[in-house]
Amino acid sequence: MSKEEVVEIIEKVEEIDLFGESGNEVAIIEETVVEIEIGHDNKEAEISVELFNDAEHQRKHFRVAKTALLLDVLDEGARKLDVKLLPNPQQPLDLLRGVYRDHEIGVPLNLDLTLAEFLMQEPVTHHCAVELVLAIQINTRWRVAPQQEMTPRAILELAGLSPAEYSLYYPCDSVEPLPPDTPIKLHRGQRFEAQRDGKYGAEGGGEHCES
Amino acid sequence: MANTARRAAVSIAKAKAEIENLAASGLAAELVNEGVQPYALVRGIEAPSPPWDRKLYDILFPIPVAYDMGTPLDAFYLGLPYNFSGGEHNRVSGQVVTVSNCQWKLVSWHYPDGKPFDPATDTIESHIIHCRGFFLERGALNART
Repeated sequence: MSKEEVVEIIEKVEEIDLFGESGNEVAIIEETVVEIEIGHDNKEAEISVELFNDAEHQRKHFRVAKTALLLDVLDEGARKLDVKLLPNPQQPLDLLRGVYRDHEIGVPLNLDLTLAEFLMQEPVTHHCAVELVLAIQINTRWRVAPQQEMTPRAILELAGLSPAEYSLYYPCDSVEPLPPDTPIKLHRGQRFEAQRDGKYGAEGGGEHCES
Repeated sequence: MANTARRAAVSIAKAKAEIENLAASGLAAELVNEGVQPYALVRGIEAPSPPWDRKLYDILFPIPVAYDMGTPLDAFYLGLPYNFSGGEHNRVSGQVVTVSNCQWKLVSWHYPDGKPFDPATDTIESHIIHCRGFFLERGALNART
């Protein structure tokens, strides 16, 4: 026989001011949420997720085993929100944060915690936000860009590469290097190549390559 | 009778780890051996086509047996056969080796004078990108000489 248990009732009704297509101000009244545990002897919990900084606070709901890691919650949340974690779901740079009353957003969560461990922390919340960071790729190295605009010099340094030794190229098949001190606007998932210069050797044979 | 010949100690644990990390990141890289010589074999290096006859090439470069001790990487081999602008590339002109049942020809593409592969900062990953520059004719300091 399944059990039901009210976990949390969010009684507060919030008004979020937005502007409709006509330019007129509209108010969205957020639904009151009653979170109920159903069955499974409380082995699962219902979680809701939204995108960090989503003005409309669109939520997706799903159930997760309490033994699951928050890494799995982030992965499932991203699927429900139809977004892709970078660089991959196994080792994401993206973040999961708790969302508390009055939409207060918490600090990034430790993804190694189990959901049960997280739900034991005060204040308790079953609502999380998925933060998609400004992840960029330099060769095979993924980094989180600290600013929306960066110079190629700063991007190389972010990747641990010396601007004195490497040139940065974008798009990746570009032949001309980016000017090192001209800022470029970054977008999530942007891929660069950082290359050391080369030189041609002898023509027509005779070279050997030994270990 | 005991073999008293002295052989160079193989020190490529760092290279193995780098290649494993590259493979885990999605790059088709593997360590292969031909006799006592280890090589990095990298598949699917993108090239502009034309002038190259295909968009993806396999390359190979020897891992020095003292790589972990700071012996630098240099040059690479291109899998045969290939075609460049209807013929051969005048810098794909070195010795031919057989590794992993394929033939490979040495490419004359090196680090510039005074700016060699630096074991302190450079890696197998950075060497692969350096090799990719050859296909793109990118970053060749003596391109017009």
